[in-house]
Amino acid sequence: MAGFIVKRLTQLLPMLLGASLLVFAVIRLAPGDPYSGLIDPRMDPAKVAELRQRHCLDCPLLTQYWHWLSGIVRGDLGTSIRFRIPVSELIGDRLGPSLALGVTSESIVLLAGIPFGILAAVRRGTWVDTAVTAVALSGLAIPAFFFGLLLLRWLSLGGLQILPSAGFTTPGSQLSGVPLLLDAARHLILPATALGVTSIAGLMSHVRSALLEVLQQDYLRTARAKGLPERVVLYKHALRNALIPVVTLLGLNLPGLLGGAIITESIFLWPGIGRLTYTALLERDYPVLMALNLMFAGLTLLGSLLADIGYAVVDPRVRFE
Amino acid sequence: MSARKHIVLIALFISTLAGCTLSSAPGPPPGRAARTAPLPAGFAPAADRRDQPVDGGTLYLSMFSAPRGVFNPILMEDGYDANIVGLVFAGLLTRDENLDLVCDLCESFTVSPDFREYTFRLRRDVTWHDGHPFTARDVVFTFQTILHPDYPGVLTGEYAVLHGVERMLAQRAQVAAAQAAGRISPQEAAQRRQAGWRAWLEGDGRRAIRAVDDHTVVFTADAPHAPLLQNLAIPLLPAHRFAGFPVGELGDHPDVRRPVGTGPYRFVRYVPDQYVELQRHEGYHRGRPHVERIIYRIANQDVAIGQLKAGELDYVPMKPADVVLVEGDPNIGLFTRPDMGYQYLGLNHRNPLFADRRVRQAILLAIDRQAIVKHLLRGYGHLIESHLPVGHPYHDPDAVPPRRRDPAAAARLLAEAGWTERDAEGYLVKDGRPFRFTLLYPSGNAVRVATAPLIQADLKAVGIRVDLQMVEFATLADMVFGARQADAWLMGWGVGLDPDPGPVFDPDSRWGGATGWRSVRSAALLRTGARMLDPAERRPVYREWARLLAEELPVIFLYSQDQIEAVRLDRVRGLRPDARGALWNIWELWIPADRR
Repeated sequence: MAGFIVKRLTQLLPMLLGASLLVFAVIRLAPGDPYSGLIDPRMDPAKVAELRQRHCLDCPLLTQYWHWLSGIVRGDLGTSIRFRIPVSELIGDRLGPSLALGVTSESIVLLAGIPFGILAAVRRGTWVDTAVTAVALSGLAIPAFFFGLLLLRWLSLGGLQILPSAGFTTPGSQLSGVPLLLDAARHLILPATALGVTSIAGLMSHVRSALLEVLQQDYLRTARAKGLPERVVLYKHALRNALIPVVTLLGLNLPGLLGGAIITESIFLWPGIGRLTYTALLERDYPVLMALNLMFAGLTLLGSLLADIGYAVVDPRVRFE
Repeated sequence: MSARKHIVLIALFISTLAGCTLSSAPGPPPGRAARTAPLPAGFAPAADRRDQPVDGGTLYLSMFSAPRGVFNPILMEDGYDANIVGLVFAGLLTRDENLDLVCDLCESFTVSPDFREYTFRLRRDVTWHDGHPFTARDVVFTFQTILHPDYPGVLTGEYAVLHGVERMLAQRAQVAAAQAAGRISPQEAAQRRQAGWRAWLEGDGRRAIRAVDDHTVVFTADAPHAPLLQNLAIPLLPAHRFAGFPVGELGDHPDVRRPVGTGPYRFVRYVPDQYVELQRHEGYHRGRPHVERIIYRIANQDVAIGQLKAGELDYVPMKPADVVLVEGDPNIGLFTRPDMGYQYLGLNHRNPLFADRRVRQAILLAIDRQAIVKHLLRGYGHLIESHLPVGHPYHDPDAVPPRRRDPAAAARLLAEAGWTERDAEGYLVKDGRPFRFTLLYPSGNAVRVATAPLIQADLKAVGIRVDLQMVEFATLADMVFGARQADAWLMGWGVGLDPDPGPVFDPDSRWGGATGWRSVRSAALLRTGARMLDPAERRPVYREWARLLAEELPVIFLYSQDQIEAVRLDRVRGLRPDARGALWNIWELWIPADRR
């Protein structure tokens, strides 16, 4: 197992390199550059040309890639062309909130999706199954932004007004330590719910169908024949096998934890990576885009590695050479 | 499925629809005040004046996009950074209610009879937010930084008319060309630029920008140039904080992120993507602000109205379609003023389709611009016939009366231009070639996006075939102004308060080159107008120019959208809205004690 992990980790680096080259080429294929959107007639074209030269935007593509790569190897992610601050600072500020949102919404999905899936599978064909499936599917059918706006309407503005409507913390407050965490947690509730509820159905149906398949297996009949209580049969034998595809799913969801919530972040003004990606894309902020894509590529590769490891841990039948 | 399951599903379906409301088709609200009146019906400023201003409180403003954090008036490139800079910094001049330039940081200013010398006597009671006094040194520093060879911003060309600057910029262009051709090394190029700069500083520069004493500054121009006064009004930087810092790295100076200015509010912090916090400047020269703190929140456009109604925000810039949501609320006041800008349909005159003036006029007459203003803008807009929109100080409504849609006249003009035959589908054909072009339009502005299919339909009615293509904004800007690949496009211009359009209609510039429209008469009129400073003399020139634009149609002028601002009247007192907006007198506003 250890050898397998080491082998995968060594494969990570060339794959990241290849991914970065591909991303670089694709981003530069898009017409325009960071300065093409500035059409203010007061702008001196000579100065804009000078700025373009300063950032080497007209240099040969390989030269630009080489500049970026040599910076990355030194740990320097570069400076954002439009924000004029180091990219690491830009992303670092947003990692915390994004992670909080991603982890919380993923937890909601797990805490609701798995029990719902189990319930639906065990009580298959009854009204419980239909009700659970219907609730989960309606959550899936509602777009996240619409559900977010509904939540705002019910629980925040205009409705009960018990939860804040936007932002990461209360504007103008200067809390620190535990009160800050509590304030942030209060602000986290609505966006995490909006994001999580809409994704429950996916996990729930995975768990339900996997469990249904396992529940029909012969070894469960043997376990019951041995006299084991249903609870033990279910949780100790059936569930462990049913969760294998779930583990794979979770691993592949890793990059989504950080960057997948653009619309929710926009509605709730959550200072996350999703919005940064969208803004950087519109403005062709190459250093930011390259750093973000590198991060996502790394997370994807890491996620699939973790999924494979998890797979091996959960399923003793799996062996790696 | 059993009946019970049916009911469960239907119940769920209905509950999700609870969030939707059916809105009746909005029409113009009854009894709305005249378009030019800035105050909403029922607004009674007299009642406010009876109450006495109270100290303290926090005002919650909003903007829809996060500022970049480049809070520096000579480096910023963003309207959202400008919102903050407008509160933190002040300049020599500002605008009065007629949008004329008047003193802000100066006590008085005079212009010499030959319009080449501008003398400013500075106020003596102005302090920077860190307590340092404001002096002429700050003025000289700001403008010298803009003209410095290493200045990392884009405003240099605005001051080319100052004494000796044109020559210095020409020398820099020569050096840049030599470097690009490989004749000299980058180090040699930098050296030559520095030498040219030092020569100017010690020679012409002494006359161009001169601090006569601590509170008097004189600017000298090579020729009269009216837009210079507007350009001298930019917010000023504190010399004592930037002294000794290399100009080439100006963007890295900590003051860019945490600015120090002379405006009514000083910068406290910017929490990225969330809000900017400002605190009142006790020594503000126009009066100590009553409101203690301003939180400038970044808001989502769809949620902001809900936040305004719930009282979380005190100020929201509005879209025309959303006005109906706040109209009935007595606590929310709406303030409308014409926008200094407009939307247009750009045409590439190199395309033989658009070369004939009659064709361009036909296109204008075919489009129902009134319908756009009435329905898409809900009446919150105006037709425009030239580069000077309604509300601009130099706009002359008699110069070019607004033209109504006239498809019959359009068809006639097209026929005169030789478009008489039609093909099997009903589109115009000439010499076997159809009248067909692609209209590019950018995403991002909902009204503009909605006008594209309307224009397509209107032009189809006169036999012109239009293919629509929506493009992302930066890509479109590159195609139109960079690669010049576009035949027709939708875009907007912001217009400065000086009527001179700058390079917008100069075919040799990046902007005028997009259309390629060349007019000797337009260039001559603009040259004449820029050389005069007396409004009475300038008006006839720009009236003539507006007529020329309306006649020649370098672009198809479409509409200008009004700026609508919503303010919570129960929380914000002391409002005196006019053409400058609802909150121009922010240091005079106050919040009643019981509404904190």
